[in-house]
Amino acid sequence: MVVAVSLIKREWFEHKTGFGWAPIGVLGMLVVITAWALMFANSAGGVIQVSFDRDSAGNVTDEINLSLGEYDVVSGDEVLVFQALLSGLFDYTDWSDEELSASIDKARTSVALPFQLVYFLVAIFALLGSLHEDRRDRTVLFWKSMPVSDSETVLAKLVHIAWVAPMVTIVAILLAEIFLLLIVSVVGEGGIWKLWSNSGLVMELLELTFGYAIQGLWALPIYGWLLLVSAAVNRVPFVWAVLVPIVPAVLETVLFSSSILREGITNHLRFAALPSAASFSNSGFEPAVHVGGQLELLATLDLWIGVAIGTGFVAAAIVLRHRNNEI
Amino acid sequence: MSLIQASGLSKSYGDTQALNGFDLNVEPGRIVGLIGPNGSGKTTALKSILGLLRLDGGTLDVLGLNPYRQRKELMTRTAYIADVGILPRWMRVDHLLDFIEGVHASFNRSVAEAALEKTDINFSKKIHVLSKGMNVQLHLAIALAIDAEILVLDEPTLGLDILYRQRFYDSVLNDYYQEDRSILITTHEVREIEHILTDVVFIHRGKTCLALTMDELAEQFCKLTVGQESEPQIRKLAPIAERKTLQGTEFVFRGADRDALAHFGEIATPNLVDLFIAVIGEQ
Repeated sequence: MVVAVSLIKREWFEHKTGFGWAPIGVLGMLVVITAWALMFANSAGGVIQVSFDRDSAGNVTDEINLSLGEYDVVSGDEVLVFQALLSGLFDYTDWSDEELSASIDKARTSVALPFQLVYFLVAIFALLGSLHEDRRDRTVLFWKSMPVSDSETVLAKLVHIAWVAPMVTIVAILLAEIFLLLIVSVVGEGGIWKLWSNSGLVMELLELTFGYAIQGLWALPIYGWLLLVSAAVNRVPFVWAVLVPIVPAVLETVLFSSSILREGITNHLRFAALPSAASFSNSGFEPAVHVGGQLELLATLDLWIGVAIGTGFVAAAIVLRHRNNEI
Repeated sequence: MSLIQASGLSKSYGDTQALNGFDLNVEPGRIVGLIGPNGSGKTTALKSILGLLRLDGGTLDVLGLNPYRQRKELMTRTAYIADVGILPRWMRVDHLLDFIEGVHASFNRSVAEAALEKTDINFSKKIHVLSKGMNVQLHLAIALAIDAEILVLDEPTLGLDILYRQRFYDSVLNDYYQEDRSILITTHEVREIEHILTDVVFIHRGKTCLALTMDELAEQFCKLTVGQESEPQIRKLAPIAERKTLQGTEFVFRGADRDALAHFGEIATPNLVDLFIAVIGEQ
């Protein structure tokens, strides 16, 4: 246990900038953009109107319409909903709890996106460098002079990136949402209690935690592949990591007119990159934003096939880590 | 029992035969110098002993273990310092010590800290701001705080100034060396380690070409320096090498009778560089 904690801590120190400071940087940028949006909305002098489309039974549909004065700002594009919400220039006094929590739910999904994308990009490059950089700068000779097996080394890197490092991202997402809710509390109309009781923050914490736990499994074929390339090649791991899967995917389409491989890769990439991007799915795949959907994902064959393939990649990475030393 | 037993090791990289029948035997309490020119297979030999590479052939036993298969077990009992700069540059000194303390059962942190107190190394600094000399001091402090039976030094003083070099070997002798422990050193600066070695192994083209203790070396080899007039006479006595110097001509003999040679000129024990050149030339 002490060994595992030491190995994970080592990984954290190495990637503190990417997994620690980057989400905090995104948070900072969000605060700046929010301030700018507030000033812009004020100077435009308009009031942002939010209205919901309802189906015949009177239930709120996914469509939310925003308008600034007489102009339609946006219609149905939830990515921008949070800007309306945070601008606080609208009045939610007349909204039902259902409408308010639906709106906040949309907003927090979109708030999470930039954090998740940054996390995923950092993870990709951290994985690609993890078994490559130390061979290039020869520190692999030091690491291998420690009584740590190659499987312990590789697994520590995987566990850190997939399941430990997202914790900062989760906290940063929650802080961003709390910040936006605070702004609405100050400048919005309609009651602070009503706002916070419909904020779904506790649920969000659960969903993000579950989401990343399952996302780690979902992304295992990608993470395992990146570890394998990192351990295998001596130069330009990124190019290898991208090109090698493309060739068989194209060949499959050309030779067999099927696209199992391509769809598998894109499906896995999509949810791995943006676990909250529900509407970005266009091939029938429903990413799991909410706990129910996340648990359903665990029951899909897709996930477990990916886990099996990913485990194979990780095992191969361990074998190559054993064999390869400095470049 | 030997700490390291290697016989007939072979390893090739593509067309290059890095090791080609390398033998080595290291007993407890020995300080063994592995000496050879660039590309002779020194580093490959050390790497195979440290479990870093898979051999093509031969048998290798280090502390009763197969190094390549059992590197983790081996490293609890072996310490290693390579030429400068293999410590992780992005890490802070104290975090590095935390890490080693966490993963290494034979590491005594207070020993390392006590050694570092004597240096100018600041514990909260990152390793990349340390000078080359400090880097080696840090690695040495770590290696000597490991309760290891074998210490492997691969060109440890490369690029260091003379002050650090002297202190380096002093520390190794004073703080590490004991009866039950062994040290295996490779270096280009043969003169620097000559006086501390108990054994010497010459490696050339991946093969052991001479392995003996310093006492055996003094018994078996001698160097005779004579003036020009007696050169033809000496050459008839089958020296293994000769070299012109300012003092005259130096001849190296293997297994010669020192007393018989003594009346021709000055007799001495050849230094390792002379001997190495002679032995390689002989082959």
